Amino acid sequence: MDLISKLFVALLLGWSGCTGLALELTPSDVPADDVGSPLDIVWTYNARAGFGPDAVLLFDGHVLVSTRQGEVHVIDAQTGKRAGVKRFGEAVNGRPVVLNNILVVPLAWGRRALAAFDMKQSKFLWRVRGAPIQTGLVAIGEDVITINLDGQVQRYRGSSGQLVWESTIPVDRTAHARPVLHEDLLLVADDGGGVTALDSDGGMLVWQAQLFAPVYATPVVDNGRLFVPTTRGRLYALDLRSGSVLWEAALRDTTVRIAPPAAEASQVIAGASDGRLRAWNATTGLLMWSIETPDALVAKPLLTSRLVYFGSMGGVLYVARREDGHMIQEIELRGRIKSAIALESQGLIVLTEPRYVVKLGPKKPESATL
Amino acid sequence: MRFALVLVLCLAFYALPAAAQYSWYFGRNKIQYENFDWRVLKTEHFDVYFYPEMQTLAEHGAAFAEEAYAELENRFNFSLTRRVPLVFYSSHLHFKQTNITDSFIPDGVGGFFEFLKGRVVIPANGNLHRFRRVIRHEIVHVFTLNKVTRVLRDYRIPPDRFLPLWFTEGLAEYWSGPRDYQHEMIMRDAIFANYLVPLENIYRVNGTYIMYKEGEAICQFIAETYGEEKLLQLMENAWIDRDFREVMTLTLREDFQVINDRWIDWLRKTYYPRLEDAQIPTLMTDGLSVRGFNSKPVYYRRKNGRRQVYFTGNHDGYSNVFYVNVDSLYQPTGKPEILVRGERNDQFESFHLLDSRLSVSRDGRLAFVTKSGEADVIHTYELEAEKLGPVFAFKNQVAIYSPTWSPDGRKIAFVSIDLSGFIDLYVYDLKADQLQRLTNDSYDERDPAWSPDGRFLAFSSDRTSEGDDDAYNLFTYDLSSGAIDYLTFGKQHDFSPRWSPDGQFLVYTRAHRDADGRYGGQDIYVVDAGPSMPANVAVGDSMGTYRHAVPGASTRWQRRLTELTTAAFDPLWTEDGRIIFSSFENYRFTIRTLAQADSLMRAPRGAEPVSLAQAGDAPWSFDRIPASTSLDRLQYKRRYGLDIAQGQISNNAVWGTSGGAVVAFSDLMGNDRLFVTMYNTSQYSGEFLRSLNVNLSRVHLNRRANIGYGIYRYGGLRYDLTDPDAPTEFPRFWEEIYGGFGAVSYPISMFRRVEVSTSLAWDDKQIPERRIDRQALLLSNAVSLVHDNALFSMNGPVDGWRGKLTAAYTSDVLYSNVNYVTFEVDLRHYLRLSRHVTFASRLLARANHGREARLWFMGGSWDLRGYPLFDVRGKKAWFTSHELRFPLIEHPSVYVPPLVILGIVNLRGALFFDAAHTWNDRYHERIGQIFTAETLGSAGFGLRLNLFGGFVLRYDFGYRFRDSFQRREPNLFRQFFFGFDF
Repeated sequence: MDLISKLFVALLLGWSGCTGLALELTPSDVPADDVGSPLDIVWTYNARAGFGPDAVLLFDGHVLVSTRQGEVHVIDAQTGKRAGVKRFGEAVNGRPVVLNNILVVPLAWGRRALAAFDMKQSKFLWRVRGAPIQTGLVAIGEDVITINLDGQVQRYRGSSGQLVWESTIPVDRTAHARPVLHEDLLLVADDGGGVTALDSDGGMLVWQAQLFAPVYATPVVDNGRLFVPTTRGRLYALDLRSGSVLWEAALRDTTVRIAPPAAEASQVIAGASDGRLRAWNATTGLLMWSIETPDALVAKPLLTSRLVYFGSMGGVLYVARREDGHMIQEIELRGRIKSAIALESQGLIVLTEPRYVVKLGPKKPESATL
Repeated sequence: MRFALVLVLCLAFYALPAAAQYSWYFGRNKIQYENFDWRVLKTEHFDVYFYPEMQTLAEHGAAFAEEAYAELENRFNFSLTRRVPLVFYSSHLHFKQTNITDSFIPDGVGGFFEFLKGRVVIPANGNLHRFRRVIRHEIVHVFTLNKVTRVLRDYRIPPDRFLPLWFTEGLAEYWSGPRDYQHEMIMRDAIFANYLVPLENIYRVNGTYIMYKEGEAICQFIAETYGEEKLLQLMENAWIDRDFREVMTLTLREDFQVINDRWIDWLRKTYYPRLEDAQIPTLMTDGLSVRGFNSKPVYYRRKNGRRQVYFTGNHDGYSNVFYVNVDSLYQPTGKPEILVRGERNDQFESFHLLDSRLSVSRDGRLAFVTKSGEADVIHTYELEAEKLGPVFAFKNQVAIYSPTWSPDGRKIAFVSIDLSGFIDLYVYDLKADQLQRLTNDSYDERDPAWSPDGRFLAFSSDRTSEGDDDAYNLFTYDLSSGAIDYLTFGKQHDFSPRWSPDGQFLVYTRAHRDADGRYGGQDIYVVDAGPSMPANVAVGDSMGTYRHAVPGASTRWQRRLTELTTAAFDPLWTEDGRIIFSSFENYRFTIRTLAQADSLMRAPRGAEPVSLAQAGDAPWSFDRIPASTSLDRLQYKRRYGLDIAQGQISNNAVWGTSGGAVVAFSDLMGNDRLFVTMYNTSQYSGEFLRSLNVNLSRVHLNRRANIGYGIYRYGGLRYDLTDPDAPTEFPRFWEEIYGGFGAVSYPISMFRRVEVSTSLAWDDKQIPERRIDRQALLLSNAVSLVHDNALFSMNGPVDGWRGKLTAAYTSDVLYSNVNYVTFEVDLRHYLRLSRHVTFASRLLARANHGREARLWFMGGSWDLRGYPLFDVRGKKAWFTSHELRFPLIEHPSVYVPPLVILGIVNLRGALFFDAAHTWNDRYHERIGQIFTAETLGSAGFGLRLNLFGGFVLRYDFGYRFRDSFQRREPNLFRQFFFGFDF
């Protein structure tokens, strides 16, 4: 066993109590108390390659981040020190999941689509051949659901890699957005502008909807609504049970891409390639406010009870008030922010170009000088 | 018209024979005529570099750039994190002087993006729409490079791969604006004439205009068929495979061949329906000049009754003014002949082949424009006397296009770009030597034509109220009142008006959008223009002030005379009612004649009254980002950036192990360059300092005279065959030289220059084997005269001549240990026997005379073939070489397709004859095997193979001749080499 694997095992042994469900909860979907402000950089970690659009995984005081070089890094959330790293051979673009100590990683290229690594025994448990998977995985109980480049939606047993069911989205389409699980519904938005709702237990079609524009960014579910961002300046709100369009926000400029939204209670907030962060009324679709920034916004924002945190392609992390969009703080980081921001118990975890994991926390008061 | 501007819109235009600014042996000169006073306008994302005379234009350009950025940020879903330097020139002639690239810039280049420092360099050249489009085109390149580089870095893929040129250029065209009429013309022609290059073979036309347009069409096809987002996805998937075909297959989810087939089907479905009722120029008209490139015809009937058609063209590589004799039925009675030879001398440096028309006065004076030095000039040629007439140049008028004679021959009207970069109408009075400016605004005036009664100038312009939609209409300028009136109106492109001899009509070309939004063919039209026509709508005067339109005043008719598959240009109405024009078909421009104009007008392909109901609204204008009112605050400050840093370690049987590094820096304009070279040849650590070689030099290129200077220190073991004191068997010795040098290269013209250099160095030479320990303070001065107007083909020069004459004197000013003079003459002449056959001759004479005079050496594939390199040595030498160069396989892409896959572009042969003689002062007595004191020679046959368009593989075989050709050696020699022909 190589040293890296030993380190990995040593680390992962401590995760035995974790469940996939806990990992699937995206921080920005769960409003929490504000981190505090002003923010300051706590630590920076060099992950050696770039990142996909999803946020990092967090638990038990560690940050787990996958890179486009095909590595999964485990970082001590407190210190920012490397706790372990494992290579998976091919690029990883979507976020992995952890199911009862089994790390399941989607591989963005090559013959193998999925690799499961037993973190207790430090060995590969199973691999699945098939079309590459470039989106993040969805954990459901002890299983994992994927969508590959051929548009096949598949559910696998986490323990064995056994295929449970398989379904497909319309022919000639694929998904670049991570599927969304809500209770028993699996929602898949594709690059043909279609949204497919499947029964997550059996993969049966529940409903389908066709939107005006392709979907390349991950939708979000809140309060019985599915909010779908598209590439041609439109954001849709669909009824989760029927797929009918509740409202549609259309920008005049059809070249604008809406970034993955975050939603909570009465608000759905999303950035866009035109550099604006917009907040819509989640019920009516009316624009509540918008903030202009100098650079494109492609990453999913993070909502807390009072604030919204969002990063830009200019490498700036912004903090604004959710209520009215009033800007509170701007922090210049080392590179573009293209990935969703994660909320860690004592701060934010931000992924920046070219290859840095950055933790930000409340700025410590400067020591008084006499 | 401005077709040339987009002929090669380019990201990476191709390296032409490079400038001779570093005193290269031969080469043409890139001359800095202007001393630009650079300023910087900082916008949100760009640093815009401009000079004060063009501030308004730069402010427009800055707004165009920000406008493009806002749109492209969305399309790429990406932001640039560094400011982009945009360097603007007000005209193409100024742009040609840029030092940001060392390459010569031909007329067709609309701008370029330079990868190293991310600089975007763009000329305006009078047309704001085109300026805007080129800015957008180049900014697409900036985004593409940054986006793909970022993708590769994210995936930790080495940046040794990039997207294919057809895709990057096609995307830049596609995202820089709607498809224009030139795109439609090229693609329609490619489909109809069946020369469309399929996607799998598009590398065969890499870098050509057809590649740009096909690339644009492919991007449009992808966007329409698979979704616009797939274009971005292709870039985001660039990491997946080095082979872009695989990336396409994965991204578009179809087999590459299927994509190709679907694209071709899509094109056919788009264009085939347009064939119905369309006229093919070669079937409906007679050709007057159909070989090579031909444009801008004019007609004149000489006093002896001979009818002649004059035009500009390029048949064999050099552009010329041609004429062809025609009979009364306008059938050519002979081949086109050259009237004025261009591009060979300072007087006629280059023509604006696609932009500037010719004009003949009633008394037979031909007016045409060439670049001559820093600006364009108008030449005249007296057709009856068959001699060149006066030349007219105008201070501050940089570019000149399309002169037109007044009916009395006393004035010439033309359009011209001044230092501000805007193009306007001018009239020059020859007798009074006065230049009058008729318009003064930002609109693009083109192709003035003087009416037969002398009252009006007809011209094409985007000053129409549809001009913000990039439309061009025809106008008249009333020379008595200065009023400008509409002649035509609409969203079309109306170009190249010419009056009928009676002044009742104007013949012109029109391209307009069809119902599906695409441009159709560019056809010949006629519009009523007689003096009885009521003046339509006064829309402006010479100062660009507008009055409101009076709608519905027109009863003019416009008639469509042709419905061509492709395009007509520059129609001309002859005295007996024929129409002569240039036509684009099968990727060629030819001169053709049409039937009688009146018969065509009786049965036109369409006719409608000119409608001015919507004409004459408020003038359009583009946004500007104003620069600071204080230009001093915008002064350009020279900052150096790294150009190249390269290290090298080598191991050689003679030298042992040596290592070194070269670092080069330059400022943003490329005007000031610093070079640092270091290398070391020490064999052990104790020798390190003794064998350290350093050279620091600086070159200034911002003035006409290029100046270089520097200091150096060379020390260590030298291997020098040219040193007469060196051991003959193994000429290696210790030498230490340190000193400084200075050099000036002054271009007399594009083709000639004077080079002067001097150096002063302390030289300590030690040759223990020959007990020589010589010290000297060497002063060396040299002067050279260089001429080069050679025309290059794939394997080397094919036409023109080049030569170099050098005299130098080297002396030891302290001890008189060294004292010798140098003379050298190198002449090379290329006689073009036919289009593909050249007879090349070279004469070289060299002499070093005096104390410690250096040796010359010959041998090898580049001069005396059949003799080993360095084995022919002497202080005096002559050499001559003659070569008949001819094609063996001219179009392997057609006849031997497998060769193309191997990168073989053409295969040529050469019959050669070489002869040489060297003399020595008994030097050869010390080394018996060298050839000297006898006339040597060789003759034989050679093969020349151009690989990948850049490397020429040379294989020669033949016999050696000795003793003044009295003895032929029995064995055949063979030589193998890479390099261009001499």
